[in-house]
Amino acid sequence: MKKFSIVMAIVLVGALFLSACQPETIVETVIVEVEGETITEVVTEEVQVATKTLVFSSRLFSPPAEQLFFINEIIKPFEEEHGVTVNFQIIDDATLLQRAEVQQTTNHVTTDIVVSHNGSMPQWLDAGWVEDLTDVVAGWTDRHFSEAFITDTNRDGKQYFLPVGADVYLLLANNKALPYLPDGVELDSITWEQYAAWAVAVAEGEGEGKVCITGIPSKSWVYMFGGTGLSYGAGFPDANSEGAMAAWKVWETIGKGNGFVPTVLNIDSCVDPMMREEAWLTVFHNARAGQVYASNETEYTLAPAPSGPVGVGSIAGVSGYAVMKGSANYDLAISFLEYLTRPDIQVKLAKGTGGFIPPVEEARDYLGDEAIDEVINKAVLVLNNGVVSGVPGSDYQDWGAVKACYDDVFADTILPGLDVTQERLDEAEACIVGLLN
Amino acid sequence: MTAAASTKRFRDFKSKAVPYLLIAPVVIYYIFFWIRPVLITVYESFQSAAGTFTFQNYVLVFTDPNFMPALRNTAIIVVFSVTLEFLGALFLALLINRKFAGSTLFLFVAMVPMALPAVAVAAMWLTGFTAHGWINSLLYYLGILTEGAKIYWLAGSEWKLLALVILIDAWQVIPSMMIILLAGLQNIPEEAIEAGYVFGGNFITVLRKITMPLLGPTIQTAIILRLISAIQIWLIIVLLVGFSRMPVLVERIVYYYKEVPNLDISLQMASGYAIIVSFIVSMAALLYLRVSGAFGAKKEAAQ
Repeated sequence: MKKFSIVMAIVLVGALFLSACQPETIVETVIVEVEGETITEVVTEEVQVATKTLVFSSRLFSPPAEQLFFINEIIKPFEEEHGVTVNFQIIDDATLLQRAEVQQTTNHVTTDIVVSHNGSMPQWLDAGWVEDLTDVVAGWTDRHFSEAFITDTNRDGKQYFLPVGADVYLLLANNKALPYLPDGVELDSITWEQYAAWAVAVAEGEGEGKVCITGIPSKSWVYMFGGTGLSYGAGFPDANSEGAMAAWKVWETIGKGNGFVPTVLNIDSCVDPMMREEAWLTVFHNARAGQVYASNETEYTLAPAPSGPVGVGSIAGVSGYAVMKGSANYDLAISFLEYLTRPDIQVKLAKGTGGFIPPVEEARDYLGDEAIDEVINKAVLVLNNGVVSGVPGSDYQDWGAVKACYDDVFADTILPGLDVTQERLDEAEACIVGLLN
Repeated sequence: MTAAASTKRFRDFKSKAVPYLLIAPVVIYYIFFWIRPVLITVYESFQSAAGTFTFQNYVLVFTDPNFMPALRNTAIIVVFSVTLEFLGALFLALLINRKFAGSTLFLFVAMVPMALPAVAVAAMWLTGFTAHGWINSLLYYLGILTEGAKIYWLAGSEWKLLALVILIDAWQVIPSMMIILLAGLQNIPEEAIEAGYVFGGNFITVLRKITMPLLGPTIQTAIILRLISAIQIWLIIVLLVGFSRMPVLVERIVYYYKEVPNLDISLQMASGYAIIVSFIVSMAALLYLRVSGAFGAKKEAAQ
């Protein structure tokens, strides 16, 4: 019995080893010259070759549905075409950087491709952990990356990151809110004052607030408010300038009118509250807005973010693919990136993941007239015509702490319906400035 | 020295060394993975960002606007949560100890919350406490709520949230406390209980005069364990309302160490809070042991 167990264990280990190696048939043509006569012989040989595994670590596509789409619809065709395995991992930006540091300092690089947010790109470039892809990109004549994010993806004229999944902020309304829309207001050109009046009217009519923002600290409120600020000529981040004060006054109006959903402090994403119809109005990330809109386009209305005196303000972000320096699978990584950045694949990816903006100029040729195409079109409109700003995360000790400066103003002043005072905003600005590097 | 003497000495050495060799792996493990990190944290708590000796980290912690609310919230959770959990666990342990028909199944069901990780517990209750959650649905199904009416469980004052946290924590922790108390109850000699009833005692008298005194050491163990873990509650709170909204002591450590790790003061604040929490846990345990008379009992036992 003992011998049998040992034999079975050996067989199991052997089977596992063999299953890790896929047989590959190598066909070789051998030309042999025998006494002046040339003989051509075709030799067919089956050898065991381990399947190559490409390690792809991404901060993007973290929602389970997006992961599923990325794995099944994007990765699988590539794996089948190239006979390789792509090991797709979701890892946040901070952890990605920590892992890269360990891999680079120990000279044991196990990650091939990383997907970083543009807020973290300066850290990657400062550390020199990603490959220069300028020459590679120059050979891809069928695509031109959007210039909007060149300051993040490129440095000193060299391209290190290939942009993917750009985002801006869009207005999403449940159609039940439309009867409360002030007279004469067009959603595509709604201003922030009109949005605030609309939110208050909904609250008065329904007996409870219906505006969703992410009230859980360190989520997206900083970006939601940031867009309002940019619409009024404020910078980003900027809590106490004249423009910022005007922006805070918009939110003050909503707070005083009890316009926020009662559970706003427990919301970390507006997707669920909007889908459950707990919230009716929000201005949020285009991919998440797209996710809700595409779930039932007859129930929701989508529009560009509201505008202010300066225009439609929005925080814009993008992620970027890069090849880790020292990658053992450099050529395969380049092949995968060539595939991922093809205009048709970028559009397929954008549509399958809620409506991110594909940052390749040729991608627009592949847009159609489905609900998700409308999301992308509206987002492109904001990106091209709006007052957009990136996230200067690397200028600060910790961007999460900057978010907290804004979160606190919301929790202690806006939500309780208090007056926004210059003194409180100066305090918030001091909080932000105190975090500068 | 003769060969026999040498062999004897070797045998003596072996018999003395073997126990030490047997516990050596555990000792080494504790030195590397417990004592070393503790010492490093203590050292770090007295280091400035520049690496010089300082008390400034503790000054930073004590002047942190979230320190007093964190201390207050932790104290409230500990007092109410431990009391509620003890009473609930004692009630369940006494009930199950009566060995009624189906008590084994009841014990099994009652232990289910203990098997769930804190994240799952928080997620489960979060889905319940949202406006469209299963608790409001259940209340509507039972006819308590009218159609369209909702109770906003998670909206409102910090006190309301604290009460919810205490209830959720109690739901999860009562089973583990109950198991300890049940083990204690089952160690009480049947004769002692029977004697109580024979001499005319009713259930309350027997419980007060016999069961509880005999259960004393078990209660001490259960409460100390619970006291320590109640001071360390943070994950449920963070999952319900995020960081900083309802600060508690351990949440502050995690906040500085994981949520905003890149601040110049992050490590100093995290290590300062960690040492303060360790001190409070130790003091709370010592205070409880003193108040409950555990030290006196040990002295009596020694005499």
